[in-house]
Amino acid sequence: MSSLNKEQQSTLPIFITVVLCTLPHLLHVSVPVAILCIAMWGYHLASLYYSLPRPGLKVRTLAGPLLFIVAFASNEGLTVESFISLLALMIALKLFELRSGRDGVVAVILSYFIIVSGMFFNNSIGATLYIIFTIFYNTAVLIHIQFAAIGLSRCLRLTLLLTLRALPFMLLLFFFFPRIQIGLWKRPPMISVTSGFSEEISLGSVARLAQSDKVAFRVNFQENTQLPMEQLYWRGIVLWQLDGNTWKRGVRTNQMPKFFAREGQKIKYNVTLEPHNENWLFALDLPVAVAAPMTWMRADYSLYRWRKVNNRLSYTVTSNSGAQPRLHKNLLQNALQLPLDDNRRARSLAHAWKTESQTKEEIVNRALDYFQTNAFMYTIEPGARYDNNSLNQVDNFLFSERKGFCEHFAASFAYLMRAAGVPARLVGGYLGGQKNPYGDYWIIRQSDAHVWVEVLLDGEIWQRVDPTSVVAPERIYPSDDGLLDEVTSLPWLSLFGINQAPQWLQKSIYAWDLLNLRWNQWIMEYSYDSQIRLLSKLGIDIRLNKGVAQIVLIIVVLLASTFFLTLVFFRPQDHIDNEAAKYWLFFCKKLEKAGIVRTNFQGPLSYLATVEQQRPDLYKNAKRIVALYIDLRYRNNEDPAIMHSFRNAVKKFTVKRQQEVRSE
Amino acid sequence: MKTLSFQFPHKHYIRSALHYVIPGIKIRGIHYQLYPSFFGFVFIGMLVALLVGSISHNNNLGYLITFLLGSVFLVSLLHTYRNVKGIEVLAHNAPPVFAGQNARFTLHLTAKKNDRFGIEVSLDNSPRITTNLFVKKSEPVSIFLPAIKRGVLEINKLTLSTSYPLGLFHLSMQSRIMLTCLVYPKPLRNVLDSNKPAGDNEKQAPQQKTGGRDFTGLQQYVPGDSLQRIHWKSLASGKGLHSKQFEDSGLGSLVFSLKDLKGSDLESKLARLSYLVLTADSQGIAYGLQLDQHVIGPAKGAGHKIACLKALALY
Repeated sequence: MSSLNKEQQSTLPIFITVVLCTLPHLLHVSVPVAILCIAMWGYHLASLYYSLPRPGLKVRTLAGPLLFIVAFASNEGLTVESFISLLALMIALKLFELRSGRDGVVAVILSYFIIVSGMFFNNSIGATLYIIFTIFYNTAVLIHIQFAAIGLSRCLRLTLLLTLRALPFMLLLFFFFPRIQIGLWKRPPMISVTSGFSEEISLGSVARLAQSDKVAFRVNFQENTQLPMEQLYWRGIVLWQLDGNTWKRGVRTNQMPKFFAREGQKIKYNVTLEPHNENWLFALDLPVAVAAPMTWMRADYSLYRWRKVNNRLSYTVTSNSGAQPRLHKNLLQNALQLPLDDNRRARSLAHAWKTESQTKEEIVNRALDYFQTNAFMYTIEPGARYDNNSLNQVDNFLFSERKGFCEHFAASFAYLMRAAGVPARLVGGYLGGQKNPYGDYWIIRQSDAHVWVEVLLDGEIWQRVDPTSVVAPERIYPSDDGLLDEVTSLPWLSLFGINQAPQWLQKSIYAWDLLNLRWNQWIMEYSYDSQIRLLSKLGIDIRLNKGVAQIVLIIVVLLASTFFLTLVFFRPQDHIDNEAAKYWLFFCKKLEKAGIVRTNFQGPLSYLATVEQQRPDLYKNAKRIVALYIDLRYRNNEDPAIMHSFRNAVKKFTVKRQQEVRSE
Repeated sequence: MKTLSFQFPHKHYIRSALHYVIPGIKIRGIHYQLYPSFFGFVFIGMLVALLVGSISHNNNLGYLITFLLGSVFLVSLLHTYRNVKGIEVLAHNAPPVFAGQNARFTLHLTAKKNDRFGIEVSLDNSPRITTNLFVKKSEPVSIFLPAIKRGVLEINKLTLSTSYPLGLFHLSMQSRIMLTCLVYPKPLRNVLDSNKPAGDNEKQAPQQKTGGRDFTGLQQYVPGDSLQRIHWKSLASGKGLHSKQFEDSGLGSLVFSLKDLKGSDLESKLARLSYLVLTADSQGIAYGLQLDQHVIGPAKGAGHKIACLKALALY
C-alpha cells in the first residue's frame, strides 16, 4: 500500500465512496444482487493491485442488460429496492470504466442517488449520521476527482468547511420550510423490518415475539401518576374466534363500545408507537377516550386505525384504570365459540367444573387453582413440541407438557372457560415496561408482550383474568430488588454468555433511548403542527385562511411570470454603467447616422479603421475620441480632466453630409 | 463507440443555449454569469425530486437530506465566487505575427489571498486554458488566438471562469480589456510575378542570385527565407532553424512599390510585398517600400524590416 500508482490514486477514492454509499443498502436488496455487488467490488479492488484482465467493451455491453434483468427479477417489481439494486450494480460496473474524470463524476453523482434513497429505510440517529457522513465523503471525492491539484485531505477539510457553513441553512430550511401535510400520492411505508402482534395468536407466537428487545412504544404520563406494575396492562388486539389452534379476530362489528363501569382513576398519557405495520394502537386498560388521527374505538375497546401504522405515530389516550367493559348481547355467542371436536380431556375437565360450580366466578377460580397446583412452568422457551396441525394442542399443554409462555396459559384458559360455558376472549398486548430514569417516560419493549383473558361474569361485565399471574407471579409483581425494572436480558449479550447487563451499560442504554426519543420527537416527527407551534412561539401565526393563501399564491405566480417574461423578452442589450461607455455609444450612434455601422464584435481600434476607410474626413476627430476612450475604458484612467475632454469631444463631433465633403 | 458510458449532449451546445436564457449581472464593469453544468442540472433535478418525494411522503429524513444537499450546493457558490474574485491579471500585447499564424498573448495571473483552483482563462472566444494559482505566485498563461486577417488583432474581452469546488456550477466573469497584436500580411510567393518584374529594379530579383556573394553569417529563420539558404547543419545539431546570410554589396538598393504590382486584389499584393521584404532582408539587400504616398527609404536591418512590415500591416 506504500506506493500507489497513478491509477490507484485516482480510482481508490471513487471506489471507497461507492462502497461506503452502497454498503448499508446491501441489507435491503436481494441476495443475488448483494453477492454480485460484493464480487464486482472485490474484483475491481484486486485488479488495482494485481494485473487482472478488465472487462472490455463487449463484456460490459453484455453485462449491462444482464445486471438490469438481475436487479428487477430478483426484487419484486418496481420497488425502491429494485431501483437501488439497479443503481448499485450499474455503479459497480461503472468502476471498471473510469477512464476520464467525467466517468468518475458520473459514478459519484450516481452515488448521491444511492445515498438519498436511504430515506426510505431507516431514520434512526445512527442511520442519519451515516447518511450525512457519506454525503460528506462523497462530496470530498467529487471535488478531488475534478480538481486533482487539491489533495484528498485538503478536499476533506474543504468539504467539512462547506458542510459546517451549510448546517445553519439546513436547519433554517428544515424548521421553516412550509410543510404541506398532504400526500400527493399514496405513501409508501418506511421500509423496515417491523415486529409486533400479528392478527393471529397461536401457541409459541408471542414467545417468539418476546425474544426481541426492540422498543414497541413509549409512554409519557401527563400527570405524575404512580401506577403499580400489575395495572400496566397495555391493551392491543382482542381475539374472539378460535380456529383450530389459532386465535383470530373473528367477526367484527362496527358497534360503538358500550358503557363501562366507572371505577378507579382517570389517567391521561401520550403514546409514541413504533411502526408495526398493523392497524391497532395500544393503550392502558381500559381506554375510554383517544385522540389520534383516523382511529376509532371498537366495541371491544381495542383502538383501530384506518391505515396501518407504518410510520412512527403519536397519540393521546385517556384511560380509566378500574373500568370494566360491558357486553354487546349479539356478540355473546362469539365468545362461546369452540371448534367442533378436539381436546377431549380439556373439555371433560371443564364440564366437570361446570357441574360442580354454582357461579361463573367459581369456575374461574377452579381453573386458576388448576394452573397453580399442577406444577406448570412459565418459560420463554416452551420448546417446539406443539405441533400446529395437532388437534389436541390444549390437551397436550394441560396434561403432558405443562411448560409455556403467557399465550399458552391464556389460550388454554380461554378454551377451558368456553368449554365450561363461560364467555371468554383473548386480549393481546403488553404488560409492564421500564421507566427511563433520565427522561421520565416508560419504554415498552417487544419482550413485554403479553396475552391475557377476559371472561364475562354474571352481571355482564368483562373481567380481566391473567392465568400467567398464578403460575409466574414474578412476571406481574416484580421482586423488591427491582431486577425486572431494569434491562436485564439482552439477547445479544447472552450470546457472549452474559446474562446480566453491567450497570454502566444499562445507564447508557437508557441515555441512548432518551436520545432516540428526543430525536424522533423533535426531528423525525416534525410536522405542520410542530411548525405552527414553533412559529407561534416566535410570534408568527402562519395559519392563514384559504382566501389569503390563494391571493398570496396568485400574486407570487404573477410576479414570477412577469419577472420571467421580462427576462426573456426585454433583455437589455448592454448595461451602461459607465459614463465613458455611455458617450462612446453616443459617438457610435452619430457615426451610424453617417453610414458607418459598428458591428457588435468590433472594438474601438478596428472601428476607427473602418472610419478611416469609409470617411477619411472624419478620421482625425474620431481618432482623438478613440484614443481618449481607450485611455478611459481600458487603462482605467479615472482622471476627470480626460473624462471632460472625452465628453466634449464626443459632443462636438459632427458628421457632415457626404455631399458637402464632395463639394469641398 | 462507447456503449456503457453515458453520452451527453455537447457541452458547448448547452453553454451557448444557456447564454440566451440566463442573464448576467454586472458589478463594477465586470459581467458575471452563472449557469449549471450538465451534472449541475442532474443534481438540481435530483434535489427537486427529493423535495417532491419528501413532501408527498412526509418524510423528515428526506427533508433533512434535501436541505443538507441544497445548502451545501448554495454554500459552494460562495466558494465559487471567492475562487474567481480578486485575481490580478497582468496582460501583455502579443508580439507581431504573420496572418495565418497564432498570436500569443501572455497573461500573468496572481492571487493575493487564497489558492485558486481550476481557473479557466480565455480571451474573446479562445479555448479556455485551465490553471491553478497559488498565493502571491504569478502564474503565466499563454493564450493562442489565430490571426486571420492582416492588420491589428484586437482583444476586447477577458473571461475568467471556474466551476470550483463541486463542478456543478460554472461562474464566469467577463471584463473588458484592450490587447492588440500586429498582424503582418502573410508572405505570398508569386512565381508569375517574379518572372515578370513590374518595376525596373526588380530585374535583379534576388531569389535567383546565389553565387558570387560573401557569406556573412547565420540568422534566425524567418518565414519567407529561401529553402536553399537554410543552414541544415545547425538544425541537425539541434540549434533550431537558421538561414545563411550573404552580403551582396554589389547590388543596388531596391524599392518595392505597391503600384508596380499587377492585380486588383490589394491583400494579395500586400502579401507579395511582404514576401519581397522578407526575402530581401534575408539576403541582406538594402530595400525600400513605397505604399502610395508613404515611402520608406532603402535600408537594411531588423528595425527597418519591422518598420516595413508594420507599414504593410497597417496599410
